[in-house]
Amino acid sequence: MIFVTVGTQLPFPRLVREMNRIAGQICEPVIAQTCDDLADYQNLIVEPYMNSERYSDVIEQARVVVAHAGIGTVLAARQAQVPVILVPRRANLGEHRNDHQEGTVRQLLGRPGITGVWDTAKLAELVKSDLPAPDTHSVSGPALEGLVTTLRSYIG
Amino acid sequence: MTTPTVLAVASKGGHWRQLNAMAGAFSQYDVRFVSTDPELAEFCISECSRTEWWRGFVVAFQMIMIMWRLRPDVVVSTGALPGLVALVIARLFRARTVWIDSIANTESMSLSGRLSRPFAGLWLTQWPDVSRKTGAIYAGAVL
Repeated sequence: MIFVTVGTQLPFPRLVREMNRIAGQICEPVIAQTCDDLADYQNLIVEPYMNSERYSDVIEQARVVVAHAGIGTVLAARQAQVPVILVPRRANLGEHRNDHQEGTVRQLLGRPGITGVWDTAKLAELVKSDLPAPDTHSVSGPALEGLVTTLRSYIG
Repeated sequence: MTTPTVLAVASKGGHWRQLNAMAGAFSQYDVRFVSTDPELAEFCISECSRTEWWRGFVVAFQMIMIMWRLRPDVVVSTGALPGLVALVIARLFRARTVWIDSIANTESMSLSGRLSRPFAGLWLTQWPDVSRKTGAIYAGAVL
């Protein structure tokens, strides 16, 4: 199953429309959390909003996650050991207030289990490919240890 | 010596997930969580954002009530704006404060992060480049 998720703040029709088109060409089911009550997508299993329990259930069953470049999604996918394809929201298309998601993709691209595309036309090929999942060792790295140590020593 | 009380505050979504990713840092303390979704945390506060900044006053009142009860020694937040309000109120209660800017801010500090500087005892970014530009400390990151 492919899980499409756009977070809880804003819809992301550019991504969801393309995934609807791709879903029409493949046999694999596609569940989409769209943050949009109004739009209808005939090839997707749409759940506009999910509570955190449902979200965790779906992400754990997914083969791949296709998402906006939100950190919540990245962390959830890593925890579930599922590869994620990120598409950054763009401010000039009215998809977010600024282009910070482009920075997120630039910085995280190539980390274990994380891929990204700017152009949704490239999604079809990527979605159908066999993407490597993040390994368990990447869950707790030296970067997290450094942060935790600093917090502990400040708290005392 | 009693165990320090840590109040950990984050809005739902990515901010909350980042706070949880670093929660190992707080496990040895009496840690209490605050979020903007009642499903997630022990204490729930309202949402506020730059477009609805006046709701910050509601959040301030809610944080005063929570801190009046708990008397935290340290207040920690990963954002967003409600977390900044929490740090401001924490200073009134003479609690020590930590701001950890979201890892989503790869090139500059968030607006809430910039505003938190005078209120944060420990002012952190999760990117070395942002540290060089702003003077915030880079000590590591959740990813």
